[in-house]
Formats: sequence, structure tokens, C-alpha cells
Amino acid sequence: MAWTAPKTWATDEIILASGTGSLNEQIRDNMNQLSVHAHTGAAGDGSATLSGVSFSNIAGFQFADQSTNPTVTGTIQRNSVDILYYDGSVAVDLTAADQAAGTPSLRSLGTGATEAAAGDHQHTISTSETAQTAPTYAAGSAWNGGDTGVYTIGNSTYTATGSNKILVANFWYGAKNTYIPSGLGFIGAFTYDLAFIYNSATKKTVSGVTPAASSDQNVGTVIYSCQFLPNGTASTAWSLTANKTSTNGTTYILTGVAKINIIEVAVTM
Amino acid sequence: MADRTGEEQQAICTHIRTAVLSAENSGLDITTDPPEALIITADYMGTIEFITSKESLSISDMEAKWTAHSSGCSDCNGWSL
Repeated sequence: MAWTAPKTWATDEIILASGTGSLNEQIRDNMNQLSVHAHTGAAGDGSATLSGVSFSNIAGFQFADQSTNPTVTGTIQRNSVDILYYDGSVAVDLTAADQAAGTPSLRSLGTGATEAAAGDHQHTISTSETAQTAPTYAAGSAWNGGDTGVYTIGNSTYTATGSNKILVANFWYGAKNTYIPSGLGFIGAFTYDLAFIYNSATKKTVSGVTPAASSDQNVGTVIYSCQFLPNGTASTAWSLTANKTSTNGTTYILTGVAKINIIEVAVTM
Repeated sequence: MADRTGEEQQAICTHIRTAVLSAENSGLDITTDPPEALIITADYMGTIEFITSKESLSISDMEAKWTAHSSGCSDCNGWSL
């Protein structure tokens, strides 16, 4: 039985039981149609799909328990007492709190491992020395008095023991003269530029050091220091170079020497 | 700011020694024991430091001299004590 568009009644019109415009057609049949029709989207039937609907003054939605999690992307669904949203890969529980790290969820405020920090807060940083190395080095080549140029005084590799480390390099530089003419001591001092290099990058340049030196003695500079982040936990090359920049005409066998101390500091908070 | 390279570190040391502290540098006597030295350090973070073994040189005076010089000096731009 199809829906019949309601008739417009005229004055003094006779009411019929059946036929076009009759009470049976207009009231009985249309009421029957309204009671049994499917929401097909045809005229008078309405549609099973709502679109462009705007809700207001809604007191609440009640989800029927599906007893399983949603598996269709973009679906919100109730499973027991939980409301979950399927984002295409996982069903995110919108009602759970303080889930494991990496799982999106509501967070309560606190200091627990899965809680969120509340507003302004302060971290307490603690440090501890986890490793140290401090060998003494000597260059493999020597300068004469008239020489200038760069020699590597000490080099090696360092491997950080883990993450969240800071490396602190301290170095002292001196020059040793091993050529002593008869009757003469060490009578000159020369000027050097030093560079501490880690992972092919110069971390510190020291310009114009003039280490005090006497005959066959290592009387050198003050201690210089720099700090930097390690190259992960990879074995990484470092070196200390010295560039002799001043000369004189006297014969020397000048060997650069250094004490190089690398301290690894762990930082936690 | 990107890390300062070794060349940039050496350049700022040379610039300060020649353009800012040239009088102090030329007055050094390296024949004494210990020799007088004016040491300028620079690191990858853009920090510079002055060190001297000459008692008559004042670190704070040299720092003040560089600070005055650095204002408006493009070579010193981005470096700090």
C-alpha cells in the first residue's frame, strides 16, 4: 500500500468510504502506510541515513554494548563499560586513564610514570661520573726552532657508555726539548695554537699558548676544558692538535706533550 | 646558531688578537720564565675567554675592551664572553 498525498477538502464535499479521496484512502490507508513503511528515502518514508543533522540540548547518548572493540576506522563503540575509538590501527579506549607510555589516554596529574606533570614544575637534575680516561700523550714528530705547523699531540677514540651523557674534555699542553747543545739549556719558548677535535668538529680552540719550558722538562700550560654531547654510543675519534706559530733560528727537538682527560657525566632528572 | 667551526674559532681568536688586543699582544715578553702569554680561547658554542700570565694585564679590562669593540663589529657578532 503506497502513501497517498493528503487531499484538500472543499466545503459541502461528500465523504466517501472508498475510492479516490475517500476516508479509507486518506486516513486508514495512509495510517497503515505510516505504521509499516520502511525508511527508503522515498516521499513520505523518510531515510534510514541521517546526514547534516545538528543536535542541541541533548541530555546524553547511550551506546549499546557491542561486547567487542570497534574495528572500522572512525568508529566509536561501546564494549562493556568502555567507549573506544578505532583510529585505523588500534582501538583507543577513550575512558581509560594513565595507560602505558605510548598509548594515548586520559592522564591524571601527578609524578607517576604514566601520569602528566601538573602545570609549572621543576626537574631535579642529578649527575654522576660514569667513566674517565686520562692518558699522557706525546707527538710522533718534533719541531725544530725554525719550524711551524700542526702536529697531532694525542688522539684516540671514545665510546660513551649510554645515553644522556655529557663529555668533558680537559687538556694540558707542554713542549719538551730533547736537544741540548753543550753548555746550553733551553733558552726559548714558542707559541702554539691548540685545537681539541671530537667527531671531526673542533670543540675548542686555544690561541697563543706559550708553555714555559726548561731543559728537558714538561712545564706547560694551564688546563683547558670543553664539554659537548657524545656521538651516541658510537666509537668516535678525538684528537688534540698543536700548531707551532712562532720560530727562531736555534736548533731544538721540540716534542708536544699533553695530558688529556675525558670525563663522561650521566645526567638524569 | 650553528656550531662554530674550527676555522671560525681560529678566526675570532686572530681577529681579537690583532684588532682589539694588539697593544697587549705586542707587549708580551716570551723570554721571561715563565713567558708572558695572552691566550684567547673560543669554542663551538660561540664562547670566548681571555687568559694571561702577564700580571700587569687585567682580564676584566680586556673583556671590557672587547665588549666595547664588539658592538657593531661584524666579525665579533654572535660571540660572547
